[in-house]
Amino acid sequence: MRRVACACLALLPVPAFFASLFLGAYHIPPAEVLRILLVKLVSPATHSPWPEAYEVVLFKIRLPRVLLAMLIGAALSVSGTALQAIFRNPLVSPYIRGISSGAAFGAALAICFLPLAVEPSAFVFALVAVALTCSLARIRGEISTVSLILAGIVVTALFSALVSLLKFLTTDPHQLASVVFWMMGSLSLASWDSIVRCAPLVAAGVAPLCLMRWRLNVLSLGEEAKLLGINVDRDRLLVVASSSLATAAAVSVAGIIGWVGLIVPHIIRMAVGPDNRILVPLSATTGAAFLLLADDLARSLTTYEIPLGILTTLCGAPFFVYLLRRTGGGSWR
Amino acid sequence: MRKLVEVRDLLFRYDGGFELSVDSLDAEEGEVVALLGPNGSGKTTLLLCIAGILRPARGIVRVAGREISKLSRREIAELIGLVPQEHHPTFPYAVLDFVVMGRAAYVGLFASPGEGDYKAAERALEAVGMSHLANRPYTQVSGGERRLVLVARALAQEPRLLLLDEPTAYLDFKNQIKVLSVVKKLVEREGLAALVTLHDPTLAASFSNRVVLMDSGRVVASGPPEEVVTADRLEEVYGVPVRIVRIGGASAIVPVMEEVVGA
Repeated sequence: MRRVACACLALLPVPAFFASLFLGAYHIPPAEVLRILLVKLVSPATHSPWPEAYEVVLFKIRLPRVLLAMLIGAALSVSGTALQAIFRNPLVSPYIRGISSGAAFGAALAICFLPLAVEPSAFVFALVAVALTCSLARIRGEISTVSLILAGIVVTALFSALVSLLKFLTTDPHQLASVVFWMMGSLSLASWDSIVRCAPLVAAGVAPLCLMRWRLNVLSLGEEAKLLGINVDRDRLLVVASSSLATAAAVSVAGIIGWVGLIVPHIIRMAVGPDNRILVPLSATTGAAFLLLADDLARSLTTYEIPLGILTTLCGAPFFVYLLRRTGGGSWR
Repeated sequence: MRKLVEVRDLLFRYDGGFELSVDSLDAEEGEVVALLGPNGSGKTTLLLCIAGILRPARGIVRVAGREISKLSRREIAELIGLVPQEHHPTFPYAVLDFVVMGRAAYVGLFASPGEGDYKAAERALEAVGMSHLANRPYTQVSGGERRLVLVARALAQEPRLLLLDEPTAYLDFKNQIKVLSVVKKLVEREGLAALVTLHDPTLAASFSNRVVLMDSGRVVASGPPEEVVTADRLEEVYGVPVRIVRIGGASAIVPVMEEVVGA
């Protein structure tokens, strides 16, 4: 039973990937999509016997968007899983350390006042917020879970206030609208460029977390892990830094997409148990599939696009309540 | 008999002013040493100093001839297995997966435990007689079983020295005896040493080779149980008049009820 669940979750991105390529405002028959993909995969230089528009829509619009959704979904879910393990706290999400509001501030600053590109500015301020949280949380050389969560709340509030200030100060209604839309999260600007910028950073963050997946089990014992011979402070810092990198990269290209990093780890933990050796890889695949499907809804539910962050929350919150009630809290004691 | 633990001239101070001072304490291979004393007498602090979790202001702790203050946490974990008094599990890991975490010192940062590590964990579970629980969630076993699983995790470290902080706390009568018998048998069979903090003088007298009686951060007496666990000493340390009743080879320590109630 558990094996079947694992296999299903591991393979989930495959059907989600193809289904998402079939979907869109411009209709391309699924058989054509598969044929174009296959032909282009075998010999990229082939002259196309199909309408040129098919190729443009598929390769310039849908494929980058689909890949970016998977990348961001995996980044947020793996970060959430790792942080819930080391902080032994079910309310921890990748945004707990002020990352999202730091990124929002960076984005708003670039949109309204500074001649900066939005993405790098959001990325830098996301990391500034994490650094600030960690330094506020450090008391007598040690960072405890409680102090980190409290410092995260403080930093989140601080940057949220600054974002509000920027929104208040800007005189241009278009800029104001841009800030508001950015904060709702969206993948409508996905391009190969954004993938090229985002993928290496996400990989640099997610790879150490995947490699440390058993160490996450040991770290989930809390301070006691010291007795077992590991350098708890160093390892925790490594987890925080890696997950911050992946989350900041994701937020900077897509805006604030909530709930993915909180609920995907929970759902998988309820399905397959608490062992991070299985949880981390399955978080990556399930997170990728989840965000991909959410984005499919965002772009095809209505004639205009619904911001993705709104959808993830609308789907995520009720599903989470359902799971919580069904399993009675599941893996959390 | 080889000396495994050597504590000399140890001094530790908490910010609050409590001071632990131990001039000398030894433990040899195959020996169970009971640390006995009232709440706040410094038993746990002493264990944490020996395990290198607390850093003493002065003094030397050697385990198997190696000075603890000069070792990394990994090196210490290969020498010392500490069984904490309380453990609050957050995640319901399977018992075997929990025990294998005792191998953390031997498994690299980016690695997972291999077959050899699982073999060691299985041996450890067998040694405490809990093999049948291997696949049960750790959160669902009883208090006594959980304590033995914690001992197994410490054994999986393959240490020379076991430190047990009140291994009998919250356990029923049978499980108290079971945990201590398992520890005593293991120490004798594997040539380990164990330092065990205890609250019950009768248990300390019956399960240890030596008793270290502590009070207010100092060692009051140290030696074989029959020399240390005496009515006079216990009354002096606990402030309760007691009588020692010998039954066969064993002795039981009972409070003198009339006088306790009268006071």
